Amino acid sequence: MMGTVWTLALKDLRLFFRDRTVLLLTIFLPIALSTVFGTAMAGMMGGDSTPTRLQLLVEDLDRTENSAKLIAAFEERENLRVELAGDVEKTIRNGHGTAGVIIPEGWGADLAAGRMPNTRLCVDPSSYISRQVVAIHVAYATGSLVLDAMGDNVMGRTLDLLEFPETGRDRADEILDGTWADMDELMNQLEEIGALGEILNGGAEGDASDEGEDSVAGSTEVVDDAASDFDFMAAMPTLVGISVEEVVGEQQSAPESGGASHAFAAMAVMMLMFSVMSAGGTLIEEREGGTLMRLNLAPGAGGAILMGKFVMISIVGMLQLTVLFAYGAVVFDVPIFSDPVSLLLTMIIQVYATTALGLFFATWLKTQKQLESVSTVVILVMSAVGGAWFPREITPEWFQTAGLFTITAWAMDAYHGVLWYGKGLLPKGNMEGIWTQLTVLFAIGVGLHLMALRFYRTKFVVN
Amino acid sequence: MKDWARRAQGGSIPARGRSIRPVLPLEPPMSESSAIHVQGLIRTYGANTAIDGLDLSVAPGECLGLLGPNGAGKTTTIKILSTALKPTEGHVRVLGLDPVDQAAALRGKIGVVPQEIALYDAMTARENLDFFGGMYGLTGGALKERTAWALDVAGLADRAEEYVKHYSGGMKRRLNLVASLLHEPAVVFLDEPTVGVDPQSRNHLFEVIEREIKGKSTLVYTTHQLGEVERLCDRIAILDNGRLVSQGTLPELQAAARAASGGSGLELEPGVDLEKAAGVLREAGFRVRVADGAPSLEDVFLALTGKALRDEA
Repeated sequence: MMGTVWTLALKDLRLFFRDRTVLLLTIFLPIALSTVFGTAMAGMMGGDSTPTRLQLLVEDLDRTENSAKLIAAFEERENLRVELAGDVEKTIRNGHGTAGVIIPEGWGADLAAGRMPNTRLCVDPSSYISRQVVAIHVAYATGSLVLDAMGDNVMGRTLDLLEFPETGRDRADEILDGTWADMDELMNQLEEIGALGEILNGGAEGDASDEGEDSVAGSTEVVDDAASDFDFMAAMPTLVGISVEEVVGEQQSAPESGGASHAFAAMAVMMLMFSVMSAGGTLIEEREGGTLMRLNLAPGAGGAILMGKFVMISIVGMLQLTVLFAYGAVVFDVPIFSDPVSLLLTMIIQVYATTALGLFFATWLKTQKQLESVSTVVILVMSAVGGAWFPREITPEWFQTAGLFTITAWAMDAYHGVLWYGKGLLPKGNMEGIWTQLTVLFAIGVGLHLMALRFYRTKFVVN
Repeated sequence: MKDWARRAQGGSIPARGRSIRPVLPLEPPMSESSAIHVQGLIRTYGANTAIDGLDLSVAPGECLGLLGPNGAGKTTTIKILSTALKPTEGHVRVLGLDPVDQAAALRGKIGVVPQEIALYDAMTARENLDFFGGMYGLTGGALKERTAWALDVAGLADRAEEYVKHYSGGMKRRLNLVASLLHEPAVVFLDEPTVGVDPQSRNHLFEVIEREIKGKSTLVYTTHQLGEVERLCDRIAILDNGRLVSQGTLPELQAAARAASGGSGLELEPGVDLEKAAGVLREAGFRVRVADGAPSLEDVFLALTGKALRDEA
């Protein structure tokens, strides 16, 4: 029995290792994808690799020694890549950055005078990860300056944010005026009665005030819902005088649809590639099955065969995108009618470029199996590098540059431009148009189309 | 008689020779008025020569059986004649047209029945026929008429609306054949059209070919089934290693086989005493071997192409 099992298993193993396609998908695809992901994530998560440097736009309206020190503090953060910008809000609104600091005029004077200077952090709310990470680094950098200059003020703002009860405020102020040792003592006392733990853990289940009334100045008497939701990490910027402003999305009828818009654009780009590759494979299927030969021998069919495939795939692609976006509009409020003409044009050009990509592979590769394995690898890698899986701005710079060579990145930019930033085809007001993205997409499509034609002529027609 | 049939019968079919004569090498009946005229045809694939100086001629309305072991060059020849492949060298004319320079004009006049079942499985028989008829310019009533004819001839009229994927191998083969005849081609190339079918379907295919094509169109028929060639073809050409080994009628090839074996055949009139005749010849000094009947086409084929295995890469 075991001998037979072993014989059968050996046979299957022999067949497995002789099938290059299966081998590619089983062994090399995971390696390729892990490499792509690992490279992108390692920088963000730390470790030995070079950290990802997130773009931080900085607009210095103050132009003082103190503001220069602040910019230097930003530059010292190894996870930030500081880029001076003329108009941070406009830059972010046009999708060229997800976070930027505006140092208002008088910032340096406020700091010198012991007043908490207001630092504006403008963010694109659709890029949640980037926004959070950048905000923390900006807060650290700003805090390093501000705490040195006016630690007391910061502590006072902390008590305000915590909605620290008035009963204990005087005592707390006294302590804050005192030494850090006194502060530690207060913290210890608070910890003893459990209030601090409840605050840090996001809220008490019961009424903490009963226990707190007789404790140190009744400091936890009123820990309301807002305080119980207090998030130190999120509040950090506010503690050091940073006001976070969402500068994109207000033009949308449903600003909360930013994430959905991104998701639907990503799915539109990635799934279209899969369906196009599959449809392009029918060309190889026809060659293997013999129908292509029969078609080639029909009078006048030669050049029309590839064009026929192109038209078929394009129609299927447009249908797929239309259904996907319509569903997104109905269920997730994806704003497809904000500029329907630009969206339609984006869809058409994306379908053209993707169809050309599918036919390029279908005419270049010899067998259906080759097409399946190569296209799977290409689509998954392009999706990762092009920003369909995670925002490109949180990846290393070389990774972002690599994305520019993919249909995914340009199509995603165009869709995001229309659906999120409210861009049109051409510039209007402060908003850029998406014509650049569409031109690049179209050019990629033309290049792939020409190569597909060349391969088709040499491999599929009479020679 | 329809125009296309008259067109195909523009030349006379050569009478089947009865004389016994060696046919190695046999000069083909070359003529520019032939339906198919090939001279000095060479086709190479890199360093490999698939066709090596082939001369061939097929008269209008004639059925030529193209035989040869695997890799002999049969399919390559058919591909070149049907415009699917360009020759490396040589002169080729089909219906007076150059398959390279006048491919578009020629394609409308020829039909190719491929080895593969070149049909769309996810379409019905009628949809397949309508589609392929449309590719050859048939529309409206003409297309409807020819589709109905094809379904009837293939014996599929009552199953015309079924998907081809549900058909048996024989049904697919029949549909594969008639799909190439919709536009009434003057020359039909049949490349092993009966592979993998049962005897009933094979017989049906023969009947279709004999009834609907033979005599109306010029036929070039390749197969490994020598019996099919004996039944259908007026003349047989045997290829080996890309060269024409022999061609002629079956009796001519039988004589060639005898010649190849180093002797001559003698056909006796009915009623002649075989032993007596043999005795007379022996007395006259001939070495006589009495064989029962003429060599079969298989004997001829093996005599001319040898018995060594031909394994294609």
